[in-house]
Amino acid sequence: MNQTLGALEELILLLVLRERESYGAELVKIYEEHTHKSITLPAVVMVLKRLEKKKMLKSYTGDPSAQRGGRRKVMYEATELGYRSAEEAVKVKTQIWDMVPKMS
Amino acid sequence: MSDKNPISPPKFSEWLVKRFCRKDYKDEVLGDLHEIYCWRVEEGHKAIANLRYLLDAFSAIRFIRIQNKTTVKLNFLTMISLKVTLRTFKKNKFSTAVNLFGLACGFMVFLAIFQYVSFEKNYDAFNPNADNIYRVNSRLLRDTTVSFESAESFAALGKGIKDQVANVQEYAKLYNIGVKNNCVISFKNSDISFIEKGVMFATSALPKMLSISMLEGQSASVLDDPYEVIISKSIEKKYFNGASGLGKTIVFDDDDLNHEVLTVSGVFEDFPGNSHLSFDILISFETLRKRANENGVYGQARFEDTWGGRYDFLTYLQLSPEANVESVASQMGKIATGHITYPEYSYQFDLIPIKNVHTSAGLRGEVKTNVDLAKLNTLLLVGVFVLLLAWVNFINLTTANALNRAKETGVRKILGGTRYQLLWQFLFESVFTGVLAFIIGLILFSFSFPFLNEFLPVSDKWYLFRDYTFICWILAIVFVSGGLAGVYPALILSGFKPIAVLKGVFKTSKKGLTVRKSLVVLQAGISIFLITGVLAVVSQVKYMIDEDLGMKPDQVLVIPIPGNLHSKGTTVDLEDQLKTALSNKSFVSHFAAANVVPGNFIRWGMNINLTNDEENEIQVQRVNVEFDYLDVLGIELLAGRDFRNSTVDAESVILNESATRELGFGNVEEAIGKRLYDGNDWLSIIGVIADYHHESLKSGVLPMAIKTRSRSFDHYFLKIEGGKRQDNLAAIEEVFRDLFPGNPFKYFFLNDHVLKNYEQEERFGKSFGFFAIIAILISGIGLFSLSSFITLSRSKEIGIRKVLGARAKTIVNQLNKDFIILVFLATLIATPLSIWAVESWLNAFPYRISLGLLFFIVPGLAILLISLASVSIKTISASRANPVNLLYRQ
Repeated sequence: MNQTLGALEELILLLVLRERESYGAELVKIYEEHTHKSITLPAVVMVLKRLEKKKMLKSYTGDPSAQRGGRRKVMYEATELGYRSAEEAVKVKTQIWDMVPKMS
Repeated sequence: MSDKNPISPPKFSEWLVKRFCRKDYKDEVLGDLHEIYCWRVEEGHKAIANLRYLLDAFSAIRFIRIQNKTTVKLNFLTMISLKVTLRTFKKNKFSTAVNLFGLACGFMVFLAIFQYVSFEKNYDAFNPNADNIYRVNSRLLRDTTVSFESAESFAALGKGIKDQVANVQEYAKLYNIGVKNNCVISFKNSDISFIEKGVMFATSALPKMLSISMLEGQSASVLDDPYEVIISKSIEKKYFNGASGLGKTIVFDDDDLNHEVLTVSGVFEDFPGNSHLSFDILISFETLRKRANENGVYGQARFEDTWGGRYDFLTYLQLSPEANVESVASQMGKIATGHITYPEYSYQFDLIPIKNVHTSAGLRGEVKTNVDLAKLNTLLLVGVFVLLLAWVNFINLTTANALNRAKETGVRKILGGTRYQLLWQFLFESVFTGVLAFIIGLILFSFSFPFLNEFLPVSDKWYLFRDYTFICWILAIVFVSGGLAGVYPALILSGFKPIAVLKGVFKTSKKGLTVRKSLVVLQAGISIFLITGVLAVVSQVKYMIDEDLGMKPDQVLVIPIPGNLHSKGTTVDLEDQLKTALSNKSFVSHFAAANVVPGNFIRWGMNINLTNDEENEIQVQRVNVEFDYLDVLGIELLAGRDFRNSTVDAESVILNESATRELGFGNVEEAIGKRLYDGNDWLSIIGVIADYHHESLKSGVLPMAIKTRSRSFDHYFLKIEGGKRQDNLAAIEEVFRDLFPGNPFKYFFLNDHVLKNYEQEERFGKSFGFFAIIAILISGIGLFSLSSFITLSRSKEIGIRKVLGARAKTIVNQLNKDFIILVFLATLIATPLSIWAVESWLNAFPYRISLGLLFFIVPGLAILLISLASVSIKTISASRANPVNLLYRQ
């Protein structure tokens, strides 16, 4: 069954795939590095939760650290389905892109 | 980088997340946010990190949308409560309207008072350095008795202290020339001229110290050089018609024959009204020194080097934050005392933080009239009282209405409603009413602002709402008062036993009745207190205005001596010409000149003595006049004679009765012909006048000595008899313009001027009166609606009584009796308290009314009549109703 993937969802999913496993704060940082746009953390967490619901990500609880005020971080990792969906989405886009007439 | 380790995010934002974020995401989000926050702090700006954290925190609230059980439950409860509240409002339209209106009035009054009081108490708070800047008050002591106290001090103080005392970072000095001399500003090649009051000489450190915001010119250097002047924006507009004033020249003249051409080196934003200082034109202090150099050593000493002597300068010190204020003040005292040659004299100084100057006791030399802190607190108390009255209405009506709500409570309880839910319902109702009333009150306040501003002047209508601490205060007051008022009704209403209520066995408890009764007593008591206050203030003001001052200020025209005398001839000639020209007019019956104006404080003093011995010296106020002064003012001569002529009587003096008493004469005749030593010369006493109130009835009569001379006066006085006012003024103006070109013609009538002294009291009286009316209105509608509930609940009883043959009159009496007893009780309690309060207010006046029987009877009687009237409207209509209708209903 094909599930739709929003633009931000796709981007976050790709970032998680790139990092192999990641968590909210780190994603905010690399998102901002890549896109040069700022994003609020809750927006990222929201997307992560949605992707998890769609079974494209799975999460586990990590170790607490002093840097986080002694709180545990929640790590996210892409599932098989996540990998496929991302691949599909990117493939569709590249295909279309290849068909776009080039501007000099 | 943060100075604290470990870095901790802002508390408020964290709380926001903890409170509103979905529970199971909370830890994750908080942890991530913490980490991000740490990066951002390390990247540089902590403020930006804080802000971003706050944005993130708000953004986290979105998780509410994803099912969050507790929040949804809260919303549900709120919705139900809102629905029930609105339903109750609809059911009792009348009592709701009354409640809201009373509360809204209460909030309006409270807002007006709170705004005024906060405005007055926060003078000078706009200055970012306000905490470290102090105004120097000086005091000259002879042994331990204060011989002189002033807001101003002598010339050398600021600089000397900065050089010699540690922790004094900067000093600034102001010379308030605008009130001391008549200053005229004119322009080269132009006939236009202005009399200016807000003119001061200022040292170069002043603009920075007072954080005057410069629109043009560099604030660090605008007053460095001689003949530089900075002007306010509105003065620039007045002088140059919208063109830039920078670099233009203006000409300054005053009645001491000073004449200076000044260059505008800067323009500043009008100095805020909520400062103890006020000025429009600041001239560089260097100008004075130049003036001094031209006139020789005397001037240099006067404006720069003197320790002691003339108190002419407002001095400001900026201390470093760690400075000990008391030790600085005592060091200052030691240094200044070291410069005095007389052994038994010493100086003391007080450093008043500039924020507190406006609320401190006013001394001579103060730029604005200071405000009495006790009066502010009294006003605030009145505001709280009025708000309290309004909430009392609410409590009374809600508990009286309990009968109607009892069934609702019963049903809700049976359906499983917990007491907590019911409590919440009733609390919500009262807070909701409060918020609603507050909004209406805000609208009322906004509409009535122009009216309120007459007696509670605040320069900015929404002053309170510009500062978020005040907004927090107001919101806290709205919610807390709403909550508190809701507690009692909520406890009562939620406590009903469902079975008893639904069975119909329901009685208002004895206890509830007592509470309601005592609240009525409280209301009536507060009203009585306010009425007594109004009566006292109004009659005291009337007394002061009507009381014989010992002089007759009516029909006395006062003309300030023109400041610009450079245009024509010498001073004395012109003054003589003016005098001759005006005295010849048929409508001028007397003409005089003096260095004081009745209604103003006398700044001059001298020490007089019957012998050469300093021990018997007394201090008197000194008045210099031209010899017709006594006739112009109609002051009674008790013994001896008036001055004949300034040249003949140069060595003569006229005393007032108090002065002869202080000198130890048994009666006034005894003093005539005696010799007096004034420290320099021997004078002979030629006359004694009756004591007259020179300043106002707010201060006692001080010993006074009048001397005569022919020049150096401040004002001309003309007693006018006959003729039309307009024609007379036109004739006088013609003479004036002819003799003093380049001067605006300014004048005032002395009787108006004298009355200005009571403006503050009049305003106080007006505001008190207005608030009392509102308070009485609120208690009136409270009693009215309470009585309507009571007649309703006793309608069956009334019906039965009528059927059994009772007459309407007896029924009305029966119903009113309860209220009358309560009001009577209130009178008994409140009258002594209010008399005591009024007495202590009146004691501040040396001439005051005595409290007659009127004060004991009128307030109580007034409240009795008002409550009788408001109660009777309902009871009479109830007693007239057809008993069939009353009994049919059940």
